[in-house]
Amino acid sequence: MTTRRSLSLVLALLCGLVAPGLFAFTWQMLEGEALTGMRTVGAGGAVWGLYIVMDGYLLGAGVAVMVAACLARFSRDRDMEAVARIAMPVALACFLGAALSVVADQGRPWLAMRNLALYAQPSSALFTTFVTVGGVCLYGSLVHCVLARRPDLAEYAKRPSPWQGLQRILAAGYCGTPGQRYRRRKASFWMSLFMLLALLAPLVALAAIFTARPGRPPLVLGLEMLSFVILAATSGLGLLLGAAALVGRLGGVNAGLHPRGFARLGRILLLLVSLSVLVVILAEVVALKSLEPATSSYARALRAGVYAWPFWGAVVLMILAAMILWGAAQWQLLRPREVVTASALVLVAIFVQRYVLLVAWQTHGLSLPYRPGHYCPTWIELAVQLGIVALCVLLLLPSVRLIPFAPLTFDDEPAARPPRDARRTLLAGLWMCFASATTLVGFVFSGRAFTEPFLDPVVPASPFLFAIGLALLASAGVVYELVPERRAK
Amino acid sequence: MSGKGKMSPSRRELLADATSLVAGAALAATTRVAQAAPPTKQPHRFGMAIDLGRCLRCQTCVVACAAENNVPPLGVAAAPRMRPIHWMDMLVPANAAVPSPLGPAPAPIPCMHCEQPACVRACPVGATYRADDGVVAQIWDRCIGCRACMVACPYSRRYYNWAAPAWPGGDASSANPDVALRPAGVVEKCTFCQHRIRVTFERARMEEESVTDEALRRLPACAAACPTGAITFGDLADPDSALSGLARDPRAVRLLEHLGTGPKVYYLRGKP
Repeated sequence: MTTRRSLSLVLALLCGLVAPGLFAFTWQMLEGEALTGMRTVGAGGAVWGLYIVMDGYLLGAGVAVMVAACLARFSRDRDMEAVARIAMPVALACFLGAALSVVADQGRPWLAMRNLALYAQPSSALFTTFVTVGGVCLYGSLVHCVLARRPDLAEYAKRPSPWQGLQRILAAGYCGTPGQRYRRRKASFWMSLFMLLALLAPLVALAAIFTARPGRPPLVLGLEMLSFVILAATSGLGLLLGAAALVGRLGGVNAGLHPRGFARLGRILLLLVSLSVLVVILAEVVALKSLEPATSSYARALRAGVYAWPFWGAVVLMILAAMILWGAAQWQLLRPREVVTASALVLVAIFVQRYVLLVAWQTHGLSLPYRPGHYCPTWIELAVQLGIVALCVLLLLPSVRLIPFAPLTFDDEPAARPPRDARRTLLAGLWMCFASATTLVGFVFSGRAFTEPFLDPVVPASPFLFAIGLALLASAGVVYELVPERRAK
Repeated sequence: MSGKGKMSPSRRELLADATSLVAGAALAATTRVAQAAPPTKQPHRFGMAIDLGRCLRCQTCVVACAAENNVPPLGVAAAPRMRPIHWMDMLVPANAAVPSPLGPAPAPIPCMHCEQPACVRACPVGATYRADDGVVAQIWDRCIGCRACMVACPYSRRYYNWAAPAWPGGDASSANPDVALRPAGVVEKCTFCQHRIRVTFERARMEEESVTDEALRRLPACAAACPTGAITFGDLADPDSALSGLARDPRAVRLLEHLGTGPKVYYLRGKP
C-alpha cells in the first residue's frame, strides 16, 4: 500500500511537471522564441541556451552510461551485470530527453523533423547527432536492452502480470538451451562492440558543436573537446550511481547494485572527477595565455568576469566531491551514501560547466568587438525543460514494469559451442550486408553525390535512409538470435 | 491464346515491363535533376568594397537595406530585448578586450559572402548555400531555425526571427514584392540584393546586351543609397572592374582574414 501510494505521488508529481511544460511549449510555438531568454549573438545575447545545454548534458551522460553498460557486458561480472541492467533504461531516458530538448529549441520543430529526414547534410555536425541519436542511440539501445534481458523476460513471462503478454512476445523462443545461451552471449558481445563504436560519433559531434569555433587555437580546442568527453563520462557515471541507489531503495537490494559495486565505481568516479578538474583548469589556463583576443576575452570572463561564480563554483563542487570520495576510500568507508553524495555534487557541477562552456563563448568569445552579452533562461524554458525530464521519467516507468531491474537469472557458466548453423549465419550476414548497403547509399546521397549541395539528394530522403540503415545494422543481433533452431532429424 | 494465358504475362513481357519501369524512373530522376540545376553557369564572383575614408557613418545604407529587403522595424518596445535584424549594420567597437581591425570608428558591416562560408557547412539541411556567382544565399522555406549558422558565423552577420515580424499598422502592403517575407523561426541575412542582380542580368539577356561594371557598381540598395559613394559593388572575377581595383588598393583589408573564410567584402582604411 505504501509503495503504491508513493508511486501514485511520484506519478502525480511527474504529470504536474509535464502539464506546465506542454503548456509552455505550446505557447512558445504560438508566439515564437521571443518568449525565451535567448537573443541575437553580437547584439548582446546568446542564440543557444538552456535547451542545447540540456541536450549536451543528457546526450553526453547517456552515451557515457551506454558505454558503461557495454563495457559491463564485456566483463561478465555479477556486479557489473547489475550496472548494465540499470544503465540501459537510464541511457534510453537520457537519449529521449536530449532529442526532445533539441526539438524544443528549433524555430520550426515539425518542419525540422521533415527536413532533416529529407535534406540533412553530413557536413553539419548536427547531422551526426540527429541521425545517430535516432538510428543508433535510441533504437540500438532499445534493441540491446531487450536482447540482453531476454532470459529474465522469459522467467517474468511465467508469472501472471498485466505485462505478461508483451513479456511473452519479447522472450519468444527463449528456452535457455546451451545453444541459445551461447548465441545470446555472442550477439550481446557484438552488439556491445557495435554500440561502443557507433556511440563515438554523436559524442565527438556534440563535442565539436559545443567547442569548435572559427579561429580558436588548436590547443584550446583540443583541451575543450577532451574536457567535454571527460565531463560526459563523469556525469554518466554519476547519473548511473544515482540511479543505482534509487533502484536499490525502491526495488530492493537484489534489484540494485551491491555495496561492493558502489565502492568499485566510486573509485572510478574519483579518478574521473580528479581528471575533470585537472583538464578544466588546464583548458582555462591555456585559454588565458592565448594570443587570440576572442579566446582570452572568453577565458577572462571565466576567471574573474561575469561567469567566475558559476565556473569556480562548479570547480569547487567537483573538488569537494573528489575529497569526499578520497576520504571515504582512505578510511575504507566508500559506502553507497558517500558515493551517491559525491555523484550528486558532480552532476550539479557538470551541468554548470556545460552551461558556462556553451553560453560564455557566445556572449564573451566573439571574434569582432561586439559588446559582451548575457543570457538568463526564462520560466518558459525552465518549464519546458522540466517537462521534458519529467516526461522521460514518466515514459521510463512502464518500461521498468515491463522489464524489472531485479534479475531472475545470471548466466555465468560457460556455454558449449553449438553445432555450426550455416543458415543462421547466412541470414544474419545477408541482413548485415543489406543494412550496410542501405547505410552507405544513405550516407553517400546525403552528401549530395551527383547533384549540387543546395538541391535535394538524388535518392529521396537519403538521411532517413541512412538512419534506417543504422537501425537495421543494430537489429542484426536480433536476426542472429531469433532465427528458429533447426529441428533434429 | 487461352484466357489464362492472357491474364498472366509471359516472362519476356514481365522483363520488358520491369526494364521500362526502371528506365522510366531513371529518366525521371535525371530530368528532375536537370530541371532543378541552375540554367547557366555564371563565372561571376560578386563582392563589395567599403571606403571608410568616405563613409559618413550616416547609416543611410542601413535604412535603405531594411526598406529594400522587407526587414520590419524593431519598435521601441522590442529594442531593449536585443533581438534586432539588420542585414546591413554598423560595427561599433564596444569590447575593449577585442581590438577592432577597422579602427575605433563605427563601420558598415554586411554579410561577408565568404568563399569558404562556415555557415554553409554548419547548416544541417542545406538551407544556406554558396551560389555560382559567389553570393551566399538562403532558402527560407527550408530553414528549420536551429541557429547553427549563427553560432558558426565568426562575423555574427546572421539574424533570427524570434517572433513573427510586426509591421507598422499590422499590414505589410508597403513591402517590396521582389523579396519574400520571412516567418518566425527562420534565420536571414544580407543577400547582396540578389533579386536586383537577377533582374539586371535577365534584362540584359533579353536585350542581348552585357551587364557593364557601371551598372553593377551601385546595384545593391546600400550602395545605391550611399550619399558619398563609399560602397562599391562589383565582380571580383573581372580584373578590370572598379571593385577589383579597390581590392588591390594598399588600403584594402578584409575582416578576420586569418580564419580562412575568404570574405568578399573589402574595407579601405584611412583617407583616399
